[in-house]
Amino acid sequence: MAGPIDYSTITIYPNPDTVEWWEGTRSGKLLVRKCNSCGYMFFPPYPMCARCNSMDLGWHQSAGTGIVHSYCVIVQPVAAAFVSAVPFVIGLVELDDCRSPDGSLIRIPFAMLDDEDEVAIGLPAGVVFEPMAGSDLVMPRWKLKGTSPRTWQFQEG
Amino acid sequence: MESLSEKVCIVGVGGTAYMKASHRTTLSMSCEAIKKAMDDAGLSAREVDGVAGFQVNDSVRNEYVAHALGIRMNYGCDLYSGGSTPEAVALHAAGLIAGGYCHTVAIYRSMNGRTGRRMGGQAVGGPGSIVVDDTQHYNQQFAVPAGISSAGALFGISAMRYLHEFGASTRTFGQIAATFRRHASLNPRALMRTPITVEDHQRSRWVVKPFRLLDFCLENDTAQAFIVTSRERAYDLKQPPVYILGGIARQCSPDPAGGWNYSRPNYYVHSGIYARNRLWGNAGVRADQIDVASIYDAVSYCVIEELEAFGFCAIGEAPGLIADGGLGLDGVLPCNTGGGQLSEGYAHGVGLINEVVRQLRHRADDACPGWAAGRHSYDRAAGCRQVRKASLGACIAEGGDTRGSALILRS
Ligand SMILES: [Zn+2]
Repeated sequence: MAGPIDYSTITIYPNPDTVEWWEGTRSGKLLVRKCNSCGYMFFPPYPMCARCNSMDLGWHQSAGTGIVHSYCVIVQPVAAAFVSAVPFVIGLVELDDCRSPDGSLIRIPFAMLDDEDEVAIGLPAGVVFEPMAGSDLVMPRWKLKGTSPRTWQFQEG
Repeated sequence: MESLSEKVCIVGVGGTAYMKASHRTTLSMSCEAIKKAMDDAGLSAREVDGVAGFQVNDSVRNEYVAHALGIRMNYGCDLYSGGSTPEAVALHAAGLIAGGYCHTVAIYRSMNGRTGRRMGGQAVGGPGSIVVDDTQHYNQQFAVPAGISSAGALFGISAMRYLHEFGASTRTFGQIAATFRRHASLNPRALMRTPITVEDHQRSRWVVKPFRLLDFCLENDTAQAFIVTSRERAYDLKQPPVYILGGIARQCSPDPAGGWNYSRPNYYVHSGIYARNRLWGNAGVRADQIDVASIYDAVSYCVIEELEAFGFCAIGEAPGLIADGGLGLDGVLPCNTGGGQLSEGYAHGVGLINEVVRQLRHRADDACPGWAAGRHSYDRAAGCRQVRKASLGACIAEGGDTRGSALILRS
């Protein structure tokens, strides 16, 4: 397991565009923006739909499952929060249930709970919620769940 | 629309040393860099009427620089923007000069990037606390707690997918680093001049997999500057003018989202692919005609994605070009001939442009006794850094996978 992330050294101020997203993670929901006019889904939660320019926006609650599309492994931390966490994987996961009417999809990078020798492109993963010490915010992380016949793992050569 | 091609020139380049610890203010360093660029051009401060800087992290605002140098500005500018900004500022200046709104502009980047504020939020003494400021970078409140607070993490996710898509190897990254270091060994300004091999690269410690220490640009204190003016004024100056044929100023991909465009199809393909037809069309030349280039190298991998996106080779084919020695001084596209930001020093791309200008003047400041008069041996073993044929140059730059700029130059 990757070591703990010390969230107390990260200060975040949710803003009027993002406060409902952070309220969602606090109640165990992974939200993405959904345009009430055209159905376009996107993340991060910008205040306008980039497809039809509507500001009439709602939320889509994702099941929080998807496939690892890419990843990197942080070995040398640049922020104090990750000094005890390294080495840890940042996983880019393509969500299963966030395809928009125009065919676009959503991939989101979060820190993974799994070690680098377990992570591979192509593996399924799901969201896990982790309280951020020092604030009342809750941050998502990815955790592998299941196997896949076709995977690709970084070889160090 | 009337073309601006060849109406504006780069006429002076200069900078401070690249330093581990400057013990100087960004104002002091910017004054030295601009003075050296003015001296290089044969200009006095009275003959400059524009000062434009840019920054992420520390810098000093243009009006202090102008005041200190005794420049009375018709144009002053500070941009909050990093890699790929100097090319863009040069194009802003070209438009203003062509329009008659000003005539001669000094462009600078001054940074205590090692002893002042380091990139990625790392404190001078080591990893520090981060207060997320989303007024400049909208996505930071999601990126920072996910672990993405450095260029290494941003590019690492893209590079990993690239390695997966094309079966590429990190040895390609090592070939880039070794090539630029060989160039730096011929450059008296370079911070890192000891040659390295691909094996040295492979043995260097991991920072962010798939990147090792030798994949990263340097952290240093420095200021670098260059000066642009009209071709009419350029004729009276000291150096052979280097004409701006065209360029692209901070273009982006669809859905750029700062560094967070991971939802874009094939997002590991740099955004330059969306602007390259406009770039080469306006400049009136093709990528395969370029004699010498600078390619922005925050990490080695950036070079791969810029080469492919801006059309120097097809997507997925950069590793072959690099393995064949294509980026060397005698390769098909001599690239980062002063060592680049991996080995010469880091100034958010200004040093890269200045080296292309020196090459296009045929006055790379190397070990050749006659370099200042344009006489070179082209003997690499004897310390010559000058590219043999250097009349068309390209400065290609990026500020992440989603944004890029370019300047196409001719001597
Ligand atoms: Zn819409």
